[in-house]
Amino acid sequence: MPTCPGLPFTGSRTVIPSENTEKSMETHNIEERGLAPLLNIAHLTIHYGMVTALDQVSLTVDRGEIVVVLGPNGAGKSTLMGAIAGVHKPSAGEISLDAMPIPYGVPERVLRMGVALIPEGRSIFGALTVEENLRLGGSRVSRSDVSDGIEKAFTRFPVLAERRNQSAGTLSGGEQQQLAIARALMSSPAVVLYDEPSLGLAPKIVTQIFELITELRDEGVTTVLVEQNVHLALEIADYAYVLASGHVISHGYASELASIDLARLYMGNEVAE
Amino acid sequence: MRRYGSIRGAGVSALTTTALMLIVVLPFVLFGGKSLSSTAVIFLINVTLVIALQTFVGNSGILSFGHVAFMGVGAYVTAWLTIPPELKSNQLPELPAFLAEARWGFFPSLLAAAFVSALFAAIVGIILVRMTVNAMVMATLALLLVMYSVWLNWSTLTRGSSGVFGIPRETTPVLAIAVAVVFIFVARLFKTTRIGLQLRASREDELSSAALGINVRRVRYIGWVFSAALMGAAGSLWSFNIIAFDPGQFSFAMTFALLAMLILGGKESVLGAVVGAAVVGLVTESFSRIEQGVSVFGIELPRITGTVQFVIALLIIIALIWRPDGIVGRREIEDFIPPLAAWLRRSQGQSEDSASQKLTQSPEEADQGSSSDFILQGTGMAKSFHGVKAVAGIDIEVKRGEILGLIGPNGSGKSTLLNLISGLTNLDSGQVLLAGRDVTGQPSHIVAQQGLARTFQNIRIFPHLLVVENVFAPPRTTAESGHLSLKQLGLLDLRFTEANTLSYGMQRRLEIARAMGTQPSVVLLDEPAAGMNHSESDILLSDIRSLAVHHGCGVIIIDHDLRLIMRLCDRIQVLEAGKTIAVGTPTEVSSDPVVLAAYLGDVPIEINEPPQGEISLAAKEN
Amino acid sequence: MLEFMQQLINGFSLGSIYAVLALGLAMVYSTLGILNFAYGELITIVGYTMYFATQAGAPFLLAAGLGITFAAIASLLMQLALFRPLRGASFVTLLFASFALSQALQGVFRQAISPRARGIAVPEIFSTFVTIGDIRIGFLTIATLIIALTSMGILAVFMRYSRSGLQMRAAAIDLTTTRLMGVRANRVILGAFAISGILAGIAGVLWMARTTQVTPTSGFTPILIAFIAVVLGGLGSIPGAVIGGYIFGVLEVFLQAYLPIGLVPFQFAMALIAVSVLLYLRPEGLMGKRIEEKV
Repeated sequence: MPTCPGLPFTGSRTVIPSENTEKSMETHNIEERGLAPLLNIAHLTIHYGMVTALDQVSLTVDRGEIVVVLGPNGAGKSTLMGAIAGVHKPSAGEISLDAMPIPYGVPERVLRMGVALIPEGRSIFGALTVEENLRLGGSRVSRSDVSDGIEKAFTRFPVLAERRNQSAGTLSGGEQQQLAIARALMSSPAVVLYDEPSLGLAPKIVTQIFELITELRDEGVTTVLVEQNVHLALEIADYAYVLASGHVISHGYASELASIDLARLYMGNEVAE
Repeated sequence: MRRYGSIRGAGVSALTTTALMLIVVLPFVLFGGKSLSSTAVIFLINVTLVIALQTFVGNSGILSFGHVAFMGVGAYVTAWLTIPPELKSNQLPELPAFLAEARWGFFPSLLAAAFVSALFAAIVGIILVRMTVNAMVMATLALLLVMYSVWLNWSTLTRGSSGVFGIPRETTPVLAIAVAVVFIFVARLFKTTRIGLQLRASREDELSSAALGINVRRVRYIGWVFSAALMGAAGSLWSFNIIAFDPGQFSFAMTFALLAMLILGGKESVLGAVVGAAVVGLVTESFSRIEQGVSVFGIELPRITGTVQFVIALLIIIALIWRPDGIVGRREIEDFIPPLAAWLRRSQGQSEDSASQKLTQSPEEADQGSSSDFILQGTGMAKSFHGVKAVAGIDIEVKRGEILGLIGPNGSGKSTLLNLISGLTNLDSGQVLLAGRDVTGQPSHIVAQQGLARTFQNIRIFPHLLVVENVFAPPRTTAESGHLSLKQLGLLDLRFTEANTLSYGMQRRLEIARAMGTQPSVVLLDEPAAGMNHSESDILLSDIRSLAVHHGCGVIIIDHDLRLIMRLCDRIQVLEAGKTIAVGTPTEVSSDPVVLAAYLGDVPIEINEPPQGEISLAAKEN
Repeated sequence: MLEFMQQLINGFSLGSIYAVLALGLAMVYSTLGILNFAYGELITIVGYTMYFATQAGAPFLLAAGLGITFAAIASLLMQLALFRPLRGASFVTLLFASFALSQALQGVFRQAISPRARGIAVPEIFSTFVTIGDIRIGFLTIATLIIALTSMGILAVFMRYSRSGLQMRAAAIDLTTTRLMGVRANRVILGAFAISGILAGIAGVLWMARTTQVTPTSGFTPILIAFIAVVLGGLGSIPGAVIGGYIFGVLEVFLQAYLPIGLVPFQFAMALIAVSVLLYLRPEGLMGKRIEEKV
């Protein structure tokens, strides 16, 4: 039986499902969430040298839903995102998009399959202009589509239009996040992976970004979101997975995951019986 | 002070290497006749040249294209000192009087060559060691070129491209063997000295070397000058054999030949230098025979037709793809003879154990009187990256024997704060006091020498050094403290293992052992339990606690495993967006709504039950 | 004053060649972190191509064009045959491997062609002079300046405005993120080697027009100068490489012109020493940034 590192150290009582309940949830999950998910991750294991970053992680994402991946730092969330985007090489397991396996080590091909990753910290090219960043995002689409895409981006994000010739490094954090999202949309992806979009942003801006993510989902963009801001994430998510030390320790519909349990997971607090 | 790296062990290793070399060479010398005997002499000279190169390139990991310049310096010094005065007055009529009359013998010239070469390297080195490693490699190239153009044009001293001749041939096989043996010993011992060890540590990881108090520039400088001295002597030996030379001989072809021998053999090993010289010598010999029967041996003839150079170049490329670490890899000869290695380790272990008997059970509790004072005090610390405030005015302090936990969401500035304290990143503003001394703005090796030690979020041990070498590399570590540290972290039985073969958890422990061995007054642990499983991190936790008590040092610890932090720490400081949002005991902090909000989101939530304090207390009493 | 002006133009002309040379080396370094020692042999390849082409009766310009083409092809082959198999190796390994390749190529030239110099016929117009006002300048000097500046201008426009140029700029900043944008890594890398080869080709033609002969070791001085310019400008900085090239060119010409006659043979050594002093004051190079390693 896998250990659950989120488990309180001494206490035996836990809200985290044991292996058995996890299994039953999975069945329940498949029945209710459709048999052919858009993105399917099965028993994914990734090692960095001798560290196991992900251990037998399975999760599914249906078309047009927001799936949020929660968990403390170091749980393996970013590794998971990187693996979906084709950056990390799994040692076992597989990832498939629409039943097509995702190749490893060639993120450029994964992007062409329709998966766009917005990495943690946004990874904006600060030395390039706003427009150049957007053009880069459209590296795999035709030139006319790039112009259309840029027009659309500027309509959606007027602030980027104002700063189109400014170097992206001069944008504020919130603007950079908008640019990162706009850049990812340039390739008209079927799935967008957001790795901690709220990182370093003021609460008001975070709310705006989250509204935007919902908006995009409503337009049909399937979304996987890694987030530390549990409450906001659960507000917009359809389904949630909780990772700790490389394991999925809990998952369920966003409304079912009680915040009190998560608090315990994060803070390691004991609650007396 | 006794420490790791028994000189005796290195001596035995050198002796064995010598024996191997003699087995190869003696048949040629004794039964080979004149031609093969001189082949042997050339091989021995190549061994000295490659070993001289190895002491710098192998230990520092910095490729030098410029060492042939020192070889040239040695050769010219020898020429000035030993060419008979009557020949000299013809070739170099304007030579200063004291050189014009000189008629030195073999050994004095060898030493003079070493000395002048070292002096020259000492001057060049001042500029060189300031550079980044990549720029330094380029600079060594420039050095060779400058010297080449000086030799070519300073006819007064060198006779330009016509070269000099008339050096008495004094290279008997016995002399060549003697010099080569001395080189093997000197190089093997240097590798084992504290400086040699620190140089190798800087090769493995420059940044963590500095963070542990190693003055990387200084050890590089010493290695550079030392290696140049050997190269000067080797150049002198070479000139005693070749008798006549011109600047063209200190060229790229020579540089390439020597580097090829070193890299093919295994650049981090003295044995590798010997093996490389033998293999390249063999290839050269065979191919120059094939090449229309040219009976001239040795690659130091630059005008040889292309085949040899081509074959060696090809060999090198194949070797780099197939065996990047060279034929013998990083190993020395004892690693190929398990009984010898075992014997060396056993005898070293015994002498260490007898030394550690003398250890008092609780050392280092000297200034208990000041234990209530803050040993580390940071005030108003601030740092921005590209206009983003990573750390925006944080105060932090820790007492002797206290464990302070540093927590906060991703990107809240925890690691940056540790980097600011340890001098790896420069402060924009603020001040850091370590044991009352202002260390603000000091480079990290100075801060470390003042008593600060740290570990890194991503393990930064010295992967290709032994466990024991890892621990003994930092300058503050003594025989006793290092031994104790290995013992306390359960690494004593693994001490002769190469660090990168340890399990992940053990590598983490090694990093802590390396830090604790420096007898720090403050130690910073950046996610020490990351990637460990539950039981490993529990053991680590109680070890950290007992280490802090035992050494009476202050500990600042970052970890994402809040369960661990809550149990381990006396106080916890919570950061968010570069600011402190809470400081207090674990109980206070874990029930602080502000903290919960920082972790979970904007909506503060209520925790109905208070956290249990007993558990954390229980852990502390371990 | 007049002489000063003349020397300044000479310095800039020589500096232009150096800048183009350094630029080619820096293109590959900034994208892949490789200092390609065999870059110098591209110059030699240009020389031999021009030698054989002119021998066969080709006009100078055609020979030059062929030289540039061959240099570009050779540069691509270096990536495919040497650097790609060594992907992931350390800086030192790659540097030494390319050093070995450079030695191997020199061996081939020696064996297959000749260890001795081969003369390249250059048009007579190269040795004529142009008079502008009171200043008399060699035709070749002016031509060099114009060709080098034009080439660098075209490259700048390509990098600034074309899609591939943008992708290459992005790849130089962060290859992984660029790949996340869907940019094919192999294409960008080959592009960098192609441009590097073309620049080596152009610099090689200008170089050969000056030296009018080619030997197996012709690439030696050019690679050295490119290294110096790149380090002086700051490893990894493209504008730095160009500036480094110009500084070294001007420095060399001025030392040659104004050093006491006895010291002229040491001009190269002195230029290097001057560069060393600059690097002592600014170890990271003129345009280089102090890299703070992420820990």
